[in-house]
Amino acid sequence: MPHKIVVTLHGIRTRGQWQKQITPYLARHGLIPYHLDYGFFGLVSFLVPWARASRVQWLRGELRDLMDRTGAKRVSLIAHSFGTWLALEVLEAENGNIRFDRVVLTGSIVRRDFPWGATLMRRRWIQALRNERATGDWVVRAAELFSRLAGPIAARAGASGALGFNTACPGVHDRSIDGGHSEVLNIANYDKWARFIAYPRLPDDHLRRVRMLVQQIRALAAQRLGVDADLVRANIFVPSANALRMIPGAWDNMTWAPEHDIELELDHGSTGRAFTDGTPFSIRRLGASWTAGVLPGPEQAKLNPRLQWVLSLPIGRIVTQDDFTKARDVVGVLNVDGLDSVPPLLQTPGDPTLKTLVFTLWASTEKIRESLALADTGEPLHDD
Amino acid sequence: MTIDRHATHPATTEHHEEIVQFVFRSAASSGLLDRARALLDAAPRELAESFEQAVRTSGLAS
Repeated sequence: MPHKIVVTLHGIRTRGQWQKQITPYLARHGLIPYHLDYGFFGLVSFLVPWARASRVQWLRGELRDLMDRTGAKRVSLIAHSFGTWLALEVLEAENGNIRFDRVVLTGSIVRRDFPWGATLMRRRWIQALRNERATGDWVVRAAELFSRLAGPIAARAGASGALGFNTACPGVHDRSIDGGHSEVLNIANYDKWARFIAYPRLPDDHLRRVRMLVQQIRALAAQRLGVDADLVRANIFVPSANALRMIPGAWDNMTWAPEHDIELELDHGSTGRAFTDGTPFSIRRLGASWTAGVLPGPEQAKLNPRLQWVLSLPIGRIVTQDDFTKARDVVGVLNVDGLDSVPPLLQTPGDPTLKTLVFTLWASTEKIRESLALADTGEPLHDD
Repeated sequence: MTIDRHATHPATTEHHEEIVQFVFRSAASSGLLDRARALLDAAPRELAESFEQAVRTSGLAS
């Protein structure tokens, strides 16, 4: 999983002192900062259409250049005030040619009806958003008022930095504080923003807990399946950039390095099916090789050749609905798998003992779900 | 709660793998929770707590 590039973008009437302050927090989570500075941009300039347009063009050029030089398919972004407006103008103007990974808006003046459902969910121009707003931010309210009064010459601005978006959808995370336009740039939040952007890479607190539970689930599975624990492994796949990928380090006994980079389509194999259906699946090898229908060739080539079986447990809120128990809001899949041979119990899928084991392992993923859900929004582990 | 069925989907042509879906039906208590808890008897505390948290929030215990 490559290290992420984080573009930071300041607002008007400032040169973005916070951009320098946030660097160590980004570095701590393995992120690469790239601070952009378009100079001091005054309020009068903001009111002039061609001045705004020239900054949009500048940012398009900067981002294209950055992505060309680094080979990055997406960059993440932290923006404040006018920087939020610039970034989203570029996103719409580029019509999918420039895509963002995970975005933090602070003191946002982006219009409140921004079509997140289309850009974020359907077109995947953005992977996830954290809108950090301050309820007492009069600057963004003034921007919305001006936008309404000035008509066509005004920026399409809104008070999303104070009032939030009215087009929220899954993947849009809203956080608010009491305070004003600059107070939202609070150093106490920098670590959370870095955590949010780094996901699915897990910060230490979540990784420690998740790895411990993964180890315990693997050990219990090996014991109850009657298999040598050395032949049983465990890992977690989560959605990232339109594919399911392993969370680095959130695994146990995964010593075949090529597997760490496997990318699965969202409905491929038992992992993909567990993710889309919200029910556990298992897959076992019956002959010399897996069928070509399970994984595309390049991904199949990464598999440990000794792999014989996989038990895929969807990580989500386990609920009982319409008489069936399923995982909702699935955030990932825990795979327990094994090498060399298929345990006899796994060869009898109707056996109540196996079903009890599958259910037990599945329900035991709850605290993993909790950690992944928190990490996905940038929040640290709560004290138990 | 009872486990209702499993579905087996052999590969369409080469029959080299078998995918099984585990479907859990929750019509009435069948002792599944008791059996699961017994299975976790000797398990580490964190694992049992994670299981019980799922049971509490899922409505499985009611």
